This record gives sequence, C-alpha cells and structure tokens, in this order.
Amino acid sequence: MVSMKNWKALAEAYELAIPESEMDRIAVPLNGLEESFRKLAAAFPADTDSALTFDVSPEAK
Amino acid sequence: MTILDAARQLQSGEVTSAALVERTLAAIREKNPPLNAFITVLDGHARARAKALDSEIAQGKYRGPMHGVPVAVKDLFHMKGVRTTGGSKLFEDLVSTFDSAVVERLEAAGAIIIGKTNLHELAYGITSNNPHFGGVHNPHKLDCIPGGSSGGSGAAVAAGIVPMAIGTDTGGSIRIPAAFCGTVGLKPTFGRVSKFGCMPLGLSLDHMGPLTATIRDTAVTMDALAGHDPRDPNTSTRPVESYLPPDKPSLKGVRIGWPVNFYCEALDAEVRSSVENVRKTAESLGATVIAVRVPDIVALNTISRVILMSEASAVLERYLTDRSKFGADVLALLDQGRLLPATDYVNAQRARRVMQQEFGRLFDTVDCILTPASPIPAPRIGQTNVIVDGKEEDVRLASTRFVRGINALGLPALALPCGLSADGLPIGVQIVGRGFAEKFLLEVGAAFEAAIPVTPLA
Repeated sequence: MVSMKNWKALAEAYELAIPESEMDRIAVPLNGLEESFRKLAAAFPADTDSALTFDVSPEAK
Repeated sequence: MTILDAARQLQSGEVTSAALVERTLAAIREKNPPLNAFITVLDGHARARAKALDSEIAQGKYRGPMHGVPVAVKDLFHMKGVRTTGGSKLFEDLVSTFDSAVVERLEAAGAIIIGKTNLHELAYGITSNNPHFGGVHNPHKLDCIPGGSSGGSGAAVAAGIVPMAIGTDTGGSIRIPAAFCGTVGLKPTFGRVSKFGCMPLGLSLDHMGPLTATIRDTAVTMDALAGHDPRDPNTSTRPVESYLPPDKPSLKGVRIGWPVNFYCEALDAEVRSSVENVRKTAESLGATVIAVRVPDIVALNTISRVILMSEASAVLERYLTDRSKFGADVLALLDQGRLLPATDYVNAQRARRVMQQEFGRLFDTVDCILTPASPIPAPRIGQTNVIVDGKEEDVRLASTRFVRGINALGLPALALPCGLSADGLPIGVQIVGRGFAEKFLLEVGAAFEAAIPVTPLA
C-alpha cells in the first residue's frame, strides 16, 4: 500500500491557486495514479535511460 | 463521395472543383446544424481556391488525387488568416499568422480546406462535448458522443460532408472518433507527419493523421502529409513511400497477433463478436492468426497518463491565470498535472523505454496486432460511467483503454469499422504495427474493408 500524498498541502506549497472544492475532486484520480505509478517507478532497471533523447548533431535544430 | 471518386470525376471533367465546393457547402448547411461538427466554415476561401484549381486543371496542371477536393482540418491547426480556436475560450479570437505543416501540405497537394472542425476543448478529452463552442453529436445517433478529441472530424466524415478531415491523436483522439463514428482513422508513427503549427498538448505523444470513409482515402492523404520537416525536430528523414494499397490487397503470409490478455477483457458483447469476426475473416483470407500475450498495458496506460498530464500542464500552465476560461474537466486534468513531481515525469519516460523494448520483442513474432479500438460503442452525451461486462467504469478511461498506450509507443495504429451494434452504433477494430509500417497496415485494412461490409455512413 502506497501512502497517499497531501495534495492540498502540495498545492499550497507550489502556490497553485486551486480552489478547495476542486482539490477534493482531483485528489481521487491523483491517488489512483500515484498508487499505480509508484509501483512501476520502482520496478524498472536502475540504469534505464529516458525515452526522450537529446540530439546534438549539427543538422539538429 | 470519396477523395478518389472526386478525383476521377475532376480529371474526366464530369465535375469541377467549384461544383464540389458548392455541394460541400450545401451539405454543411443541411447536415451540420444538428451535428455541430464545424467551428469555422471557409466559404470564401474555398470558392477562391476552387476557381484557381479548376483553372490549373484546364491548363493541364494536375497535382494529384487531392486536387480540387474539399476537406476539413481540426481547429487545432494554424491556417494563415483564419481563426484557430483549439476549441478553447482562450483562443476564440486568435487569427493565425502562418500555416501549419499539415495545412501547407494539403494545399500543396491541391486540397481545399473548407472548414475547421469542432473538438474537445484543447484536444484534452474524448467526448467533444465542448463547453465553449457546443458539443459535437454522433451522426449515427445524435444523443451519443462522436468520441474525441477529433469529434468534429469524425462526425463530418461519417455524415458524408467531407471525404477527409484531419485529426490529432494524443491518447486515442483519432481512433476513438473513428470507432464511434464508423470511419477509418490512422494514427501514423510518431515523426511521420509534422506537428509544426498544430497547437500542442502532449509534446511527446501528439500525432497528426486523417479520418476518412475509406482506407484508400487515408492512403492518398498520407501521401500528401508524410515526410520530414526541419521545423519539427521529431520528424523522421526516412524516405516516404506511396501508401496506396494494391487493387487486390492480400493477407497471405501475414502474421496477425491476437492478444489473449487485456484486449479481450472487459468488453461489450457486441464489440467482442464483431472483432472475433475480423479475426475469422483474417484467417479465411490466408493470414496466420497467432495468440499473443501483450506486455502490461495497464502499466503502459499509467505511464502514458503521467506523461500526458505532465506535458499538457507544462504547455498550458501559463494560461491558468484565468481559470474561468477553461471547462471543468480540462481544468481538473491540468491541476492534476501540476501536482505530479518532475521525478514522476522522468521516470515515466524511462519506463516508456522499457515498454518500447518489450513491444519490440512482440513484433519479432507477429507483423501486427489486432484489437478492438474501443471496448464500448459510443456512450450517450453526458454519460460519465458505463457498465462493461458487469463492471462500472469511467467513460473516459473505458474509451481510451485500448488506444492510449500506443501513443507512448509511437507505433502506427489504424482504426476501421467492423460492425454495427443493435442500436445502430459503429464498432471499430484497431490494427497496430511496427514503426513506419503504415503502408502495410493500410494493405491489411484494405483487405478487411473489402471482406467485411463497411459500416454505412450516417
């Protein structure tokens, strides 16, 4: 079981002006996503690179 | 009328482009009011273009099958001198100062952009129930959604107003309306069609592609759209091939993967039987259907959601100073994205690479995989939950379940109609291929199209 974040406190810390009524609404899907993603993020090999690459070839713009 | 039918008539002189434009404008006047598929209709522009293109034909200058054919683009693509709203209150008065690559390429091929189609606000959702420009209705059943976010494009093609409308697909936004409206819809490989000049949503997930009534019309549109564009650093320099399938497409020797996990679970019974019918058709046409276990799509969908929410919030955060300009559903998603830590985004991009490798191995044994495009036919407008196989599910999550993850993989995916529900709603099948295998997918799709009665247009 993943412990859930205090989304309201996070929003306040980030100074995001999200009304309290909307915080209640978004906390449920965020908790669900957090629970699924936390397990995934711990599962892949530690040396895995990002799917996004950075191209330094001269023709890249 | 399809693009290729129109092309034949234009070339033979049976019809002029000017006449096609007038017919299309009449169709918009007649059919669009209950559908609300268009945000902007470009009558003056279309008439002027038709005159010039008819003149070119008269001089023997023929650009190809799109020459003089009226088409539409989702109102997410910039077009010089024309309003581009993105389906958003933020941009309701924004007049573009340049052409997007898609508009440029369509016009270079001779197509006439006759209108810009309605969409889910900012392309961030699947209902196309737009709070600022009104909801789009499904031509097969007006109280149902057309899917989204390219809902206006799906509705305009399914209603026979235009033979092709461009959509974008960040988590299924071409394939869902294709499935719900009964059209063909192709999400090309990431990097095959330039994103330049299209309002972004998910920077590493956005794809541009056509919705059409036939596979061949998708092919000729791809002939116009595909190719490298230095203004979009993600576009590939791989050579572009002609996408038109042969007259007699064949499935002989084709290895089709038939997932025995995930894509066969929690399915509407009519969707299940229609897609089973496609599998049987594939076998009868000489394909080898191979049972496969797909990698963890639940994980892939989770990764895709983290990436999309992070990227969309990064792109749109600057506009959140005025929350009154957003619909409630889009605002909720943007708020969620702002609360995800940067480490989640980076780890989602790392997990994405692992999933790409796992899917790559799957394609060692099969040439494509066949899945339903959606587990359900089109839900009703305003419906928030749906019962699938006895289990209640959020409409958005159900509609995106089979399509979202493919965006993270960047693979090409073709949706095409394969049946009708008892309620008269279209059912779609999805074929996913290796990167840059659009030509192959279109040949497979053409074989199915010839063998399976096509869903009639609304």
